[in-house]
Amino acid sequence: MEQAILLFENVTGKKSKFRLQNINFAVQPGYIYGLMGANGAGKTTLMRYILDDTARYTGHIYVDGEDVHTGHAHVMNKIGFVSEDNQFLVDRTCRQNVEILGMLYENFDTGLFEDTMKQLQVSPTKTYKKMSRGEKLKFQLAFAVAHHPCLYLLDEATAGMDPVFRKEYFDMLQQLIMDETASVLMTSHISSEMETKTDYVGIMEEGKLIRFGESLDVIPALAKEGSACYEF
Amino acid sequence: MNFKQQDILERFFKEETTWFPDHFGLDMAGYLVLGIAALGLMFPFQVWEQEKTYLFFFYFELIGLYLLMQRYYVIRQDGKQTALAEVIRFLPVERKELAYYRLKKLLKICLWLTGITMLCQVFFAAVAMHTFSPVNILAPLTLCFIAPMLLLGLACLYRK
Repeated sequence: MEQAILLFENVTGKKSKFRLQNINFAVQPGYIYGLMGANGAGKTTLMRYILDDTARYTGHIYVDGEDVHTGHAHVMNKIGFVSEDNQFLVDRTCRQNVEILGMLYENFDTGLFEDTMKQLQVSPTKTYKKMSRGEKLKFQLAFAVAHHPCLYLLDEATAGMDPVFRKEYFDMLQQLIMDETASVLMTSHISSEMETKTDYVGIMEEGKLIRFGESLDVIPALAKEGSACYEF
Repeated sequence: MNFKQQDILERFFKEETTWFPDHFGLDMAGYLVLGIAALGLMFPFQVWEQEKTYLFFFYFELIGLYLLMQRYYVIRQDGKQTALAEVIRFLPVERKELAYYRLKKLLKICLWLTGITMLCQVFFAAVAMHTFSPVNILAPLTLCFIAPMLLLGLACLYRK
């Protein structure tokens, strides 16, 4: 079996009154994984555990075989994070952001960034604060792609976006995982999107991963049960 | 200390000028206040009748150093002040490496300040006042190096 790109091993932890309980799952290369759950179920907290080297928990989280606590810089070179919480230099253009922040990465490919921006039809000369939410998310994806991560983390990246945007976004994600060296873990509330666009899905409830399996099995079962997660 | 990360941070701070207008103001204010403090601390302690005067200059020195170090902590964008740590939170920068980098910058300024004030104290005491006391060495060492490194150095390590 191939080495998992992301591995959660018995992860239990508490972060500001919120508790994640005994999370176990693995993300294999070449697939899109989804996390679903009501607000406050723990999806974002779970992502923060991967990204925040100061998070306290028991168990282990491995990204590409390395414990996330061994080195924040090393792990962040392997992760492409797309979220509204992600901060950039708002007074600068996308290109300037790339010039300045890109240098912090070991392997940042400016040419690839430009190509991806072109493909996503976003002008790199636009100032970050003047971009729409959709453009910002596309820029973030292009920024993430350019440093060749093996794991893409997308936190509510498609929420509130129109179908055209979603199609473009998922087409891009499919391209990224095609060579089976990377995988995507995304959170979303949209169960129809999760069913059709992801390969595997995990359902979270009150900090627990209550179900994990192939999207085509898990989501219809949720619909049948009339679960609160299944809304759309 | 990871030298590669230190080198990356050096280039990053050289390149990044988003906060330049503020940063310029802060630098100017910092150098001005630090200059006043350095002038006071350069004079041999024997000149000052009260210890309070010396502490006053020390206080100025701390303010000056604090202002000069601000560029490594905050950025101002879109009219708001943001912690630099927030911007680079999800980027490949080790928290401890950033802390070491700040510490290195503080150390550099403190060493310069200590060297200059110590030399001036000894020189002025010997040449102008025909006297010398170990305090002419110990005072700059304590007030320009040990004390600020302890006070602001801790901030480098623990402030976000």
